[in-house]
Amino acid sequence: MTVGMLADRLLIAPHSATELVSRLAEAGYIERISSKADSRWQIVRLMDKAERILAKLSGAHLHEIREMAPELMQALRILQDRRKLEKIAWMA
Amino acid sequence: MTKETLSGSDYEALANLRYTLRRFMDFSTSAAQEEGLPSQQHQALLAIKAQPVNDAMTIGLLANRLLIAPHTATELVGRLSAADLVTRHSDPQDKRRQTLTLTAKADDVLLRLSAVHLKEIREMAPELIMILQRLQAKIA
Repeated sequence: MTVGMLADRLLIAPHSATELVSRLAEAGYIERISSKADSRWQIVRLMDKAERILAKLSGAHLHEIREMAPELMQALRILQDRRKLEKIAWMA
Repeated sequence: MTKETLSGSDYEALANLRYTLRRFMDFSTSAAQEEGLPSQQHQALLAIKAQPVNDAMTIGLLANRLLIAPHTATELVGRLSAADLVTRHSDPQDKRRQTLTLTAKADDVLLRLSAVHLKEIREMAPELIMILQRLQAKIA
């Protein structure tokens, strides 16, 4: 992961990603490693401290998402089914 | 809480879910802004419109649906009313209770916004369903 990729994934401006990465590095969550291929590039890597917190948070999130998933999938299917119905109506 | 170990693909699915939801929220905020509406006002109009006819929307219900504090909902309704988007009516049975209805102007804006949202959601739905199925898979 690079700072540029992180900006893309979070839908934030590159300078915001740079600031975010600085704060995370300061707090000891990530380290920045210069790419061997291109010294302008920095790769961002999680430190142990971040791995531990993320494992805990992700476990809790998985649990919550599994509870919500059926409701969310049903809502999505209803929205999709209407398209099918409209298509049939349009073809008829 | 389960003590299962998370795999690399669990993290990937969680990150993908967030990315997909973020893209949708980003789309939604931009679409509302193009209509000159702050995102929260758009969400309030949608919540009022979606309320069943025989169970009118109140400020308290709106606060619950938007997950905001009651006083925030009161301020929000004040702004919507000033913008001629929402009308407040006193309940004849309970004068402390105010019910909310959309104005014709709000109906027009919401119709346009909902059409573009439906289109966007339908595009994203297969991807989102796939991610959710992936996250559910481990229960079995």
